[in-house]
Amino acid sequence: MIVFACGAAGLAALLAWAFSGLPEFGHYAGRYGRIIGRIAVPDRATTNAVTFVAFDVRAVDTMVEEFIVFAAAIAAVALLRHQRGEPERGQRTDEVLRPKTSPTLLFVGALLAGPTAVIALNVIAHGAITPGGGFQGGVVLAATVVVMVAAGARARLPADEPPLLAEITHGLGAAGFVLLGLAGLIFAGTFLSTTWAGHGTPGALLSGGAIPLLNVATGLEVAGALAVILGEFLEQHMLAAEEPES
Amino acid sequence: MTAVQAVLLVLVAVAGTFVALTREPLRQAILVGVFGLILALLFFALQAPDVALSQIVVGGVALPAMVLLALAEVRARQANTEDEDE
Repeated sequence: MIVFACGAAGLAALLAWAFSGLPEFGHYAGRYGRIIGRIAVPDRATTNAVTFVAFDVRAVDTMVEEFIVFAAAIAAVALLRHQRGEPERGQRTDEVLRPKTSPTLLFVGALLAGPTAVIALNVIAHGAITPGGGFQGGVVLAATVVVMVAAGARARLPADEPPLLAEITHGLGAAGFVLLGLAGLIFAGTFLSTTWAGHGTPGALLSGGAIPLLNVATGLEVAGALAVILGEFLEQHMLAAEEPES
Repeated sequence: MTAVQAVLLVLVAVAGTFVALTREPLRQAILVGVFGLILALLFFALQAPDVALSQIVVGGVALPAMVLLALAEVRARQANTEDEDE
């Protein structure tokens, strides 16, 4: 307790010292942000400067981030499948896994699934113009999957069938981002350059060069990764729940 | 700093404390979702709509869903081992 009190007091003092030196809200001191603010619309026709930074100026960072998500999903799936054991998957090929849901949940889920999917696509498509983009829209799209599962949709295809749509989406998104980067290398001479796909009118849906395409790739990747992880968890949960009966 | 930002900052602190003080994991998973949504409002008030959008879904849906699924998994496993013991 005494140690905690000393630590808390010290932390409070340091925090107060740090906060006293903060610049006032809205007073930005850096040079980088001003440059971004000046060139985002004239150079790339992106009215959303955040997306301009994430998918053009710092596109390589975004690519690595995307591969973090990619690797995390694969790691989670590998761990969960290893715990469950592969032979068990083969035995259950003819079974349809269905979570048991209440009618209320089914109704609300069915009601929400469509609008959520539309919002997700809207957020992804308008990433270069308004707040949003591939990451945000991708997570909303994954939330759609959660809602659909809650509404009683099948969580996963049996083991012998082709891989789940989410797994394909997951790989396609990751590959798409790199391919678009290579397209920049081929058509504009710089890896992940976005200018090769044209300029467009600021504010139009297809503006900002390849930035909307990169957003779509990221959206697919993030949505796929989250859906894969959640699907794997759900399947494991349902298998575990069924075991005591058998 | 506007009044909205100040109120939201305090709300985030209160909600965060409640999450930390809750001891029952199921309640905690629900509370952390509420906390996430308040945090999203704060991001919005601080003029970061991009971050707020992510926060709504990650904090409000994805994180609680993963915690709930992990909880369900742990409970199912506990039930299984109890069956084996009997």
